[in-house]
Amino acid sequence: MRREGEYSFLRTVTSIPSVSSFIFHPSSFILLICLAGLIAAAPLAHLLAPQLYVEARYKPGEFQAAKESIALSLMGQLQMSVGDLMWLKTLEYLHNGIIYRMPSQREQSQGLQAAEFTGMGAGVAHHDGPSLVPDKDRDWRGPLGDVDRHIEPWRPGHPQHSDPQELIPWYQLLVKFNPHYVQAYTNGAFFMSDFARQPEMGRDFLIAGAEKNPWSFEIESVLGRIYFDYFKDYERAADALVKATGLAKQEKRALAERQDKLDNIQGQLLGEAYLFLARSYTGLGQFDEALAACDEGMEEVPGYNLLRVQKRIVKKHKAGEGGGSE
Amino acid sequence: MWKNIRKPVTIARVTVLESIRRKDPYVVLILGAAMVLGAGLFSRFGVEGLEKFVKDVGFTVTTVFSIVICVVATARQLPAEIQNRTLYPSLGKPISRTSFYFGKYLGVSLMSCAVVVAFFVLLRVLLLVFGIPVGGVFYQALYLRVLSMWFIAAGVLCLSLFLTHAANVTISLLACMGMQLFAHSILYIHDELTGVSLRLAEALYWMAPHLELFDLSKKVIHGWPPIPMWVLGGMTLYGIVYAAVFFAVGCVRFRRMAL
Amino acid sequence: MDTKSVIGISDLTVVYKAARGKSIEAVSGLTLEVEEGEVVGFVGPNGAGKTTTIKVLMGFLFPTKGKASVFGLEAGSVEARRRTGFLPEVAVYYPFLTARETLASYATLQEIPASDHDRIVSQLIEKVGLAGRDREPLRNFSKGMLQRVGLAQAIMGDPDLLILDEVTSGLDPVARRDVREILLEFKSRGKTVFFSSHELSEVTLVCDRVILLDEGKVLEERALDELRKSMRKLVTVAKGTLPASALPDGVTLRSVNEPYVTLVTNTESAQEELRKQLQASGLEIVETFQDSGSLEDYFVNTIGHKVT
Repeated sequence: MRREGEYSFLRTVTSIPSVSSFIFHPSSFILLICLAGLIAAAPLAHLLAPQLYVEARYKPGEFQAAKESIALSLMGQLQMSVGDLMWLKTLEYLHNGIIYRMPSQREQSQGLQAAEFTGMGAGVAHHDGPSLVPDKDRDWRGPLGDVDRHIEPWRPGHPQHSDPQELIPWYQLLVKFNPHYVQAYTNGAFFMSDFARQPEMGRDFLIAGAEKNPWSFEIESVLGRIYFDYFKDYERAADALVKATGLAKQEKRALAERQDKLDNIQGQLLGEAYLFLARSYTGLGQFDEALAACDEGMEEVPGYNLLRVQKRIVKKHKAGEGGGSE
Repeated sequence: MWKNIRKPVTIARVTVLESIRRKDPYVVLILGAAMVLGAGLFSRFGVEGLEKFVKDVGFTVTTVFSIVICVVATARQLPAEIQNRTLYPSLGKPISRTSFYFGKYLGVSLMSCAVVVAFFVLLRVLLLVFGIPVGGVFYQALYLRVLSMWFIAAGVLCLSLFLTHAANVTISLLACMGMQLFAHSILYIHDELTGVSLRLAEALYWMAPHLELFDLSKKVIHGWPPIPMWVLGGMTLYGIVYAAVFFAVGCVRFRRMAL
Repeated sequence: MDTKSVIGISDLTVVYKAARGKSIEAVSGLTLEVEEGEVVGFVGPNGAGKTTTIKVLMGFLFPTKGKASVFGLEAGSVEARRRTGFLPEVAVYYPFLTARETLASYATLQEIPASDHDRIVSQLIEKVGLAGRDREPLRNFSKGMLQRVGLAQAIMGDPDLLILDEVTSGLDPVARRDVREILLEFKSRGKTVFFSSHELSEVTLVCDRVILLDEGKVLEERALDELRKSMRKLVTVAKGTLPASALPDGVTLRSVNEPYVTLVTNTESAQEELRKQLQASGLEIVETFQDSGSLEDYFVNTIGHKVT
């Protein structure tokens, strides 16, 4: 008869550790602390979100005060770091695991530039440089490099994109950690609507993003486009796009005060906002408003040539009085 | 030959048994299973057919947890034996220090490998349940991860004779988790360096134990085809050589240590 | 060094490196031999160098200077340890293993065939009084029980030499008696035992020879019979008042309880001389007897401070 405390083979392999031995075991202690930190980071970020609110119109003094606050700095940096890491994850997913980098200064001086990819609309534009793992003829690592090219996802030539639907969970997680990561909202909504064929999800995602980032013209711009493309709701599209263009003008003014301007992708988005605003007005039969949108757009985004084309289209519609449909 | 291997195998058996009864692998497996199963809740993201995310979470958990258990369990072995004096009755028997050291190495490596296999089995079952296919590259990833456990155990066991327990665990975990970051950083900055800095960076790159080359998880996650067998062979050789170097250094140190 | 010696230590010095570049000489120029079939007790105060010497014999420490050999082989070599059973000072074993599993694993290390493991382990468990507790994890064992496990693993395989560090530490009187019987049984079969102990009474009951160590050096090395002789005191009790003149050489005043005085000498001739002098001084001899003496007193007097 086995006494209490005696070991048996079965008992050895099937006994579950007690709760206290589980919690205070060195391995689980480390892992539980990390897990708790990760779990706490998201709601903590939410709680601190009002304090971490950054607006384009922050005065220099206000920026300085935020920078000098250690707690806000650390929390903000954690937020940004985690967000950036997740963003890199989405790019990795997009490129089937292959990591691309920006060209080095030496490469740029030799004429190698990052390719700007705008194929899926300005809302999802990004730059693709050479792969981090170099080609064999440029690899100084010899046999280690050969092995690395087989262990790491790698292929020569231009980047190829995978099914962007897989990126959606990462965008959803990313905004939990950093609700001010605007590009996560815009990209995520586009993929939800287009590839996952769930435009309602994309719309709701952007509405939530707009609540967290009321100054962001990019979110309103993509929201307007989604209303236009997937819901054919020209009225709501127009409302969102008017808001987008208004916010963009404010942003431009604020940037101008800092001797700065919208970047290429933002410019592209603003151009699209005017384009689809014009198309929405055209769809509603409001041709004068459509023409005004084209004119304003050409003034705000001079390089966006599609607005000229759209203006001609609007004029044709107006001349033909063909009705509301785009 | 069996007579020579019997003693280290006995030491290994004792090591594994102690570890199991101490619940070392259980706590990690339970935590890991919870996280991997949690990844199965991907339906709350509202999108059907997500494969990469589940595989990614599963592999991340497997990699991190298996490395943690390997490092923590290995780092404790010899210092605990010396501090608790359980070493003396064993070394009072006709067993050389080399055999004893080898037995300890064998024990922790086998236990770590068992944890890895358990995680991979769990992951495979999860992927089957969700109807996510895996190719031969999945099993290649398993092989390399198992191989890496021998590599890591050799390094950590060697370091345990030179560093305190806390320093050893910290440095080993940093090295294991950060090796990919290190390797990628060297690739990033290589083009910008010249002269001595360049040579130093390259030397560091060559000398560093490239644990990231044992991680095939990205290829599994993104559905790449299996890698050529010569790569597996090369990594096996690489792992054996590095493990042998760590083992030799540790063994020499252990043989000369005053106990 | 005599090659027939089981243990041979010649001019052994062991220096520990302490903090801030200091060094501690734990053993200094130690020389001793233990012949085959001897039971030698190795005694001394804390920090005398007993455990250090034993560690050198087992190969855990290396000599800074000098040599140590076991069975004519280098101390600590695998061949030497094959014929040696060792009990460390502090009995600590793998806490999650049972006594049976622990002894079975040591049996493998001792090169006992696997087919004999069960039988030998059962015998040892019975011998050291652990029957009925052998399948419990060692973390449930008391210090005394762990010491028994240690003794079991030390005598496993019937070694030719037993090296035991504080063998009776933590044992109750019954267990100590059992240990004593085991050691005497070993001795009766011509085996060699070299053990250190703080229990001086145990030393005197078992040993053929005693080596007294202090500050890393041998102070005294004597056969037990010879030691007992030197410890023996001849006591004379007289009635009267001692003359004011100094006592003769070799005579010590032990106590004065009016009207009696107690005097002590080492030899019969001295006692006879004392008797004559006392009678000449007008004292009456009340009683004379032999006092076998206390080993503790002997050591305290030799070392100059308490042996604990």
